[in-house]
Amino acid sequence: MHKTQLLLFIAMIGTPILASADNAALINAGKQTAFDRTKGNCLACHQIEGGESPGNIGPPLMAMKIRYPERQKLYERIWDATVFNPETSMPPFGRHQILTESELEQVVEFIWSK
Amino acid sequence: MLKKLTLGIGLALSVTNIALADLKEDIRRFQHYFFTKFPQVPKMEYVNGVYAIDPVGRENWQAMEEFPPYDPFIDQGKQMWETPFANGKKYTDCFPEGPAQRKNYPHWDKKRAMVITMELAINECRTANGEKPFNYEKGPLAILTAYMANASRGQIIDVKVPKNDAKALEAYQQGKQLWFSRRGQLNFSCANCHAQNVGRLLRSDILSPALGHAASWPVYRSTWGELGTLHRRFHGCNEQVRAKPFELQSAEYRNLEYFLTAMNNGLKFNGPSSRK
Amino acid sequence: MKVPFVLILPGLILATEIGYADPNSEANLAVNQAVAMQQKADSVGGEWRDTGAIIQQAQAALQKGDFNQALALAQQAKRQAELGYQQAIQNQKADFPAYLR
Repeated sequence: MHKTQLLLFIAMIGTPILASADNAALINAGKQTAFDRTKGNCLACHQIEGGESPGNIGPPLMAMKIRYPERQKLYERIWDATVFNPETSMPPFGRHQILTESELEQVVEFIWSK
Repeated sequence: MLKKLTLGIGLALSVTNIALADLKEDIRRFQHYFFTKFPQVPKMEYVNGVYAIDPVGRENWQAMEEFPPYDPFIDQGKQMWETPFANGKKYTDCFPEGPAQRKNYPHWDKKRAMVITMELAINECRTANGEKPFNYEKGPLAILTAYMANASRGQIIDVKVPKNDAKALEAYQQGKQLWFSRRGQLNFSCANCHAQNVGRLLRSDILSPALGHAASWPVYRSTWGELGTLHRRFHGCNEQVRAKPFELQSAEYRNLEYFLTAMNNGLKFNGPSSRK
Repeated sequence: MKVPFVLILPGLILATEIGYADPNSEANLAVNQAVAMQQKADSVGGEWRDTGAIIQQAQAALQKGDFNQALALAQQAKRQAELGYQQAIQNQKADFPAYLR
């Protein structure tokens, strides 16, 4: 194999590995934010793998990529659940600025990974 | 002249009928929701709050009721009730019937055009007799009302919204509107937790039914480690949803108490009580 | 055209009066607007729990001369108050929901 080809090959493999390392960091940050009682406090209402003593006001958060094939739809749900259900008991984490934009991104990444 | 009179009476009657129908229908609808959700729970049991619907919690609570944490305060409250003011008068001068006052509150005062609560009446008795009013949240007032609530146990809750009084109806409606309003950064109404999600788990706590919420005050809450009043709980709940609370015994909270207690009509007062 | 020296200082003062890229007056204005919005929200029972504390933090930052922080906090408080006001207005007709029967 030519040197260039080898380098390209390494770059091809390496980029997703590096990217998923970044992603892992984002997911981990999202987990902290989601489980933080003063921030996402998601466990108040949702069962989430890795969390203890969850509430059951909302559905358990699992198989998320099947339930939300589009990441954007999950983002919108967390941003303002009242758009989808005016009677919802889920706080509008984005619209009411409960979470910052970057916190929202982290949390969506974390929840979508479940 | 007769035409005007008939028209006037007809209008007054129709307003009255709407008002009466509103209250009766509201109560029926409110209570029916819980009866349907928890068909095994007898109506009168609702005054035990979450313990009416949580069998495990109920067992723990019943064990506690052998030596209830509010017990010593009933005696202290009796002492307070029997101690004259500096001017020689006593609480019985304001409340000739005696300490069993729960059945009389909250009520609509037509002359003053406001809802009077028992706690407000106590402080007005004090200030009228040259005494400093109590803090509405906890402490001496909670202790005194523990004694009065205990004396009132078994009285039927029977809040009235008087006929032909548009202002009374307005106060009732304001209380209702507040109970159903989403408030605070977290966007919750009282209804979200205590009706819509009643019986579900918020983290490790079971959400208690609103039916019964007015019956058991003052409450010795374990989280407080002491007795507290209903308005203290209103205040705390508002803070928990990140809403700016109203003042204790403000018009907002008195109207809220008016609506909430009316929704409990037919149940029996059973304060003081202990809760988690 | 030569600018007369005597006009430079008054010129600068005038520029700051207009609020021309002056962080102090921008932050000041933002805090005042936040307070006004807070009162508006409170007047309809819609004020949120933390808005007052955020305004106090903004005012403290102003005192310290940390104008960027003051501006950011004031804008956050104003936004909370706007949202709280809207929420209260939306809920003025709050009543029995369809499920509660």
